[in-house]
Amino acid sequence: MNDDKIAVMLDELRKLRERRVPCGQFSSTEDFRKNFFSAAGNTRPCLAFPLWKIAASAAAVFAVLACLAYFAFPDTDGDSKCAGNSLFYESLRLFRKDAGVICLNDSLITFERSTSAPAKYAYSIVLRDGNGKKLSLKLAASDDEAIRVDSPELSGIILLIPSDDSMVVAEMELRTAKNTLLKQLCAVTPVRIGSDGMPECFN
Amino acid sequence: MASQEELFHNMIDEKLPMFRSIALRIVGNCADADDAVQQALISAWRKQSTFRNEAKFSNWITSIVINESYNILSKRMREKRKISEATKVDGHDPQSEMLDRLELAVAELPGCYRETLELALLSGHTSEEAAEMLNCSTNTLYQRIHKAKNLLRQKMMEAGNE
Repeated sequence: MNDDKIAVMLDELRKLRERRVPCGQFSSTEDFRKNFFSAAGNTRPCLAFPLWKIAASAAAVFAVLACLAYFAFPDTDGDSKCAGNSLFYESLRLFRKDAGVICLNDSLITFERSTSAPAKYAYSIVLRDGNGKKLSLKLAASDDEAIRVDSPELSGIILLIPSDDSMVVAEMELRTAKNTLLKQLCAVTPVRIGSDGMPECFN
Repeated sequence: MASQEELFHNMIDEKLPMFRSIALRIVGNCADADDAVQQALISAWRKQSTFRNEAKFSNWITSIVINESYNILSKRMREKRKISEATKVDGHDPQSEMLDRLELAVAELPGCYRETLELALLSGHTSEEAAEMLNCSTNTLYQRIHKAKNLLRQKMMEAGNE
């Protein structure tokens, strides 16, 4: 079969259609119009930008914002400044001069500090265990300190290294009583502790 | 919504005979032709917001009428084939069978080639009229006709016509 044959067949089809006597009769224009508008009335015009596209766009924007929020505001320091952990601050007020103080969730842990100078800053850090479960760790120390903790509830090392004027890098390798390893490197904002043993934001 | 209704009222007043004539040439009977036009207008009503003003509104609906008509035609031909297979009726005119296959092959072409063949070769329009209705130049029209014929030839050969 070649192009010529196709052309001939198309021409035959055209002639056949011309010869064909249409069967039946068209309805009147008014009947057609009535039927059309009745059918069109039951249908809803499509949106140029369908709803599913709007929903998908909103979901995409939400996902992007969630990612940005996750990276821009890591929950290491989240609500540290004024989070009222009364146990921690009360312990700090009482023991700060003699020992280091750590609160892991609701457990109070003291440790021997390597320096006799009172802790100048309070830190609040959110740790995640291997299962992603959040643990709140609050401690008082200087902005440049190596802390060795050795208690049944928590053991390991916390290194605090000044990063710039407002941030301190905390490197932690800790093990809980349940033998869960908490390993984290993050930047935290130190909160200055006043002479009364309370963080400045409490004054 | 009022303006949309008005647009369709005018469209029915001015273009209904032309739409019916195009559909009738394809499907061969008035009832199916009316169904095709009705369905095409309803599709246009629903999708009006997607219409791009690059083409005339009536030309856009013409394309939909052609597509709807071919949908109905291929449905009817499949039904016809099933009936003839079931009743094992033989003795059709081979020429007429060949033209049936050709019509079915046209119905299976991609939309733009089907519309091109219909308007440029099968409906009796001039090339210029067909090009205007398809919103393309005559050069593009000839290229599409050429391509459409190639596709048709392939389809006919696949269907076993040498």
